[in-house]
Amino acid sequence: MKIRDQLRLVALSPLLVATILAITLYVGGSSIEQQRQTAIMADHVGESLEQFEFASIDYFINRSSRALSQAREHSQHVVQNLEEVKLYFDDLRSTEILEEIGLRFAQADWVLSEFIGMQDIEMNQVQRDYMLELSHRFNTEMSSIKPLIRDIHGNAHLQISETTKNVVIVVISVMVLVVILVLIALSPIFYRIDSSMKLLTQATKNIAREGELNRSIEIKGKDEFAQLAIDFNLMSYKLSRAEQSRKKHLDELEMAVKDLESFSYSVSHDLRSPLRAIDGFIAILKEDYGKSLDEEGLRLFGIVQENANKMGELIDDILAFSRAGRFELQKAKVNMKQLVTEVWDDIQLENPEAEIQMQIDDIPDINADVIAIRQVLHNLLSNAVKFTRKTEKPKIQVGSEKLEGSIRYFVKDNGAGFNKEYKDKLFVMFQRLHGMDEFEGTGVGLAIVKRFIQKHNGSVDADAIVDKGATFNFILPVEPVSSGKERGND
Amino acid sequence: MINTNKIVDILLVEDNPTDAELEMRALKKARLANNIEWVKDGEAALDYLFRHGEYSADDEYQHPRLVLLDLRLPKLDGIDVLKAIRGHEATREIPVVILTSSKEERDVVAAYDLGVNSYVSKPIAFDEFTETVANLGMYWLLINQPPPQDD
Repeated sequence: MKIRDQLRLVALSPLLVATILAITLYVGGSSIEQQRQTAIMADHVGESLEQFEFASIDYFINRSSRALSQAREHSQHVVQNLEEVKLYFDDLRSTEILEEIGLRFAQADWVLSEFIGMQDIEMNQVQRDYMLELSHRFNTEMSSIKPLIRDIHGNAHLQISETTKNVVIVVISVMVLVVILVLIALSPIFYRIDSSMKLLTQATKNIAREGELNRSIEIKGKDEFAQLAIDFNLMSYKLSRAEQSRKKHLDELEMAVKDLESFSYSVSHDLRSPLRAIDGFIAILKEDYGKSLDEEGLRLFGIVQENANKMGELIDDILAFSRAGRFELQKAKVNMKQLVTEVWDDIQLENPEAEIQMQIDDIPDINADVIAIRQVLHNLLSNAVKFTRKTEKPKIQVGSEKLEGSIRYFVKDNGAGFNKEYKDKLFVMFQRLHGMDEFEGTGVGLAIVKRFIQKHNGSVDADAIVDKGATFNFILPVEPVSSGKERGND
Repeated sequence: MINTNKIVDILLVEDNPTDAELEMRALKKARLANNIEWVKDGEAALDYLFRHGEYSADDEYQHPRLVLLDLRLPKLDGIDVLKAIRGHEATREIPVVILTSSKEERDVVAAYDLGVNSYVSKPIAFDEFTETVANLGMYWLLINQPPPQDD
């Protein structure tokens, strides 16, 4: 049976208790009511006896016929009440007392009838003495009846308290019995819960703390715990299967990364040699046989050489991009303003002819990898230089803005800009928004920027107006400066 | 049997014949090409330096004044050759310059870990390439002061 049903059954026990209590109280109550009735009957006997006594005494003194008739009437009541009350008392002691009350009353009644007989007779001394004796006797009988009445009354009350006591005992024992029964009924449930919980707790701990994923437990039976154990085993089985397949995929991924690495290594090494040969041997051709070539021949050789060099750049950029992907960050505090200044100096050396108005704001430091951020700044600034080349008064600004939990750095120029509709394509490998004859490049620089910033859990975006300029943003999260591995700032 | 009587200034270890030709042309233009020995794999390089195999022991043999070493070589690669050169008393002090296509950081790190004298990646453009090779030869053969010979 299911534990829930078992518990429901146990929960019915208060109902049982209530029923038993109700029956007990009802039975006890009606029995007490009967006994109260008995006590009242006993009182009636006492009352009618008393009235009989008063009426009789009245008659003894005044000898009025009214008193006599009253006494007779009361005498009848007494007899009647006695007969009735006998039906209520069934214990021996009370019956005996009632017998005695009856005997004594009969004596007193006899005295009354003796008096009646002497009513109209002139009394002599003997008779007077006899009357005196009779009245004494009446008094004796009546006064001996009084304690008996009290006894019978007391007996009734005794019975009431006896019954009350019994009811209380019954109620208490019923409750004790029910409590014991409930405990007995609950103990196997408690034991089941306790032992199953132990198994489940241990197995869960094995899985959660020790990584022992395929962990099965055995709980026999048909209740919730047995079902739980079955589901638990299924869960842990599925978990271990998922973990296995995760490991497998991870291995495959690692293999793929290794393949990619050896591929890029090959590219870096093997693709360069033929290019060098093309360029080199054309140079030799031009050197040794240049005289026998006309201008067109030299121009064509020039195109071959130019393209060999372009392909060389492309290879370098692909490698740089692949290196950026594999790059492991070593974060430390980076003095951004100083870094921008350094990068700008480098770029000016590379582009001596460019006369650009440069503005570097007081941008805050950040915790980042200085090599990666240097590359990011280099790519963004050289882009800005490249795309302001045709601008009349070229301007570049590097600034920043504090955001919630991060800092936005931006590189803004007043150069060629681009159509905002294509801004999603900007950071994608080999995507270019300008013709090769307009602005040179391979379309890798911004892809590298995006990779490095994403590695910092940051984000990149750009905004522009065609022919008015472009703004490139990179947002880096602000995090506490690490005290671990550090790279110098230069 | 190869004639080994000549004094060799540069041992060029290069498996790619076109690269070798370009390198030798550059050295020739710088008038440094008179005494070059060209070997095509790592094993041949070590045979030459340690006088094994086809290179017989020779009293007149002197170590080259410079080894130009490519990294990716058949049989034994450049790193193994460098390891062997630096691992033997007799060849420990020979200047070795890695001249390779690879710009991979791990190659650079491995070479410097083994005590290479210089690491140069081959430029693709011929003008640059010629200039680089010529400069290398000039520096190591004419400018650099080699360690004094023991014998």
